[in-house]
Amino acid sequence: MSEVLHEALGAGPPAGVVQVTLFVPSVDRHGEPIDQAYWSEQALTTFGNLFRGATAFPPGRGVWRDDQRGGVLVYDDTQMVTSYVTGDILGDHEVLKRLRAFLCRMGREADQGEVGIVIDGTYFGIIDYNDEVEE
Amino acid sequence: MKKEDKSRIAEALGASRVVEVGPKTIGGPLDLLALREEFNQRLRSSGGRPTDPAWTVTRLVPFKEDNWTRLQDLASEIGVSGRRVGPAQVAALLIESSLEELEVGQWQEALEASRSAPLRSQPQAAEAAQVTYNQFDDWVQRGWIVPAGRRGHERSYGADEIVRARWLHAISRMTTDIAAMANAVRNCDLSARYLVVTDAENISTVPTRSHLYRLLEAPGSHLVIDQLPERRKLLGLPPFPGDSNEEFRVRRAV
Repeated sequence: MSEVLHEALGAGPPAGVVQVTLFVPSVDRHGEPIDQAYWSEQALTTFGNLFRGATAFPPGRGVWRDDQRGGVLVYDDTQMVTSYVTGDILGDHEVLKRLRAFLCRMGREADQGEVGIVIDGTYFGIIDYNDEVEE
Repeated sequence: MKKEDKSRIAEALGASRVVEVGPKTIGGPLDLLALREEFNQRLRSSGGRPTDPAWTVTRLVPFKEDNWTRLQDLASEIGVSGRRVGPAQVAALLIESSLEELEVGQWQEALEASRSAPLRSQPQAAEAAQVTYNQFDDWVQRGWIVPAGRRGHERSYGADEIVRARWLHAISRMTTDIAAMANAVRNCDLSARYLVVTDAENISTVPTRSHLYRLLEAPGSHLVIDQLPERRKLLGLPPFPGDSNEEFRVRRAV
């Protein structure tokens, strides 16, 4: 089956097997709506440039506890943007620097308490992003 | 992806929280690709069905029927565009992977706990390394062992330096020219669990048992030192069942 599909699609080798997933929120840290469509597009553009491709999945209901605001629960309709990449790409410091710059911009401009990204089954939560600027 | 790679990513991203989301599962086509790649790298043919040369023990193991069916499905999926493998080979690789994850957890715990344990005075460090005070002091004077702290004439040492002294002691029993090896020991990455000395002249460290087995496939005479029993001893913990000795030797014909 896979061989037939592979041939019919004229597919090249897979880009990679390390899954990178970014959570794009629908609200800011105070529960106010943000322009989620804009940030999904921005995430797709960033992932496309850095990782060659990405997919945005439809929103799912999510919740986040803001410890810096006394543990208040912030509910939102989180969207996931996913890429499959090779380990080599994630070993490139410049790629990680550009990824961090985007995550910080989203955190800062969308007023997020934390920006979360999952890489190969590990969640990386970023809360300090005030000094990062995208090139 | 290795733990050290994830640490590097965490640092580069400026992550304040790093959380393992969950154990690896074979949940989709890309997990199968990873499994297939692992088989492609490891299986070798010497006439019969390709196998991993390190799999030298054969045992009869019962399975639930549905689990065996699942292993057969995985084996046929992997065999579609990779090497042909049997369900028992898939089971062997999955068991190995689970055991390795378990061991990696135990190792990381012992490494972190021993590194955050209180420093020891030089006499205590020499005793923990099972070398004489004078021998330990000589290595300190030569810069092969480095104190973590000094107060007046008193020096104190962390677990890493005690492990290094244990390694130097083991190497000194293999060669008279320890000076040539000492700098290599100094530069070793102690977060990797195993030290391997090959032919009494090449030193390397490897993080996991499967890396170790691959390295031991190379011809030569290998001394292997496992840090885990030593670190547990430093923490006052008993060895795990089956941990008979932290040192063992492997000889491979050229």
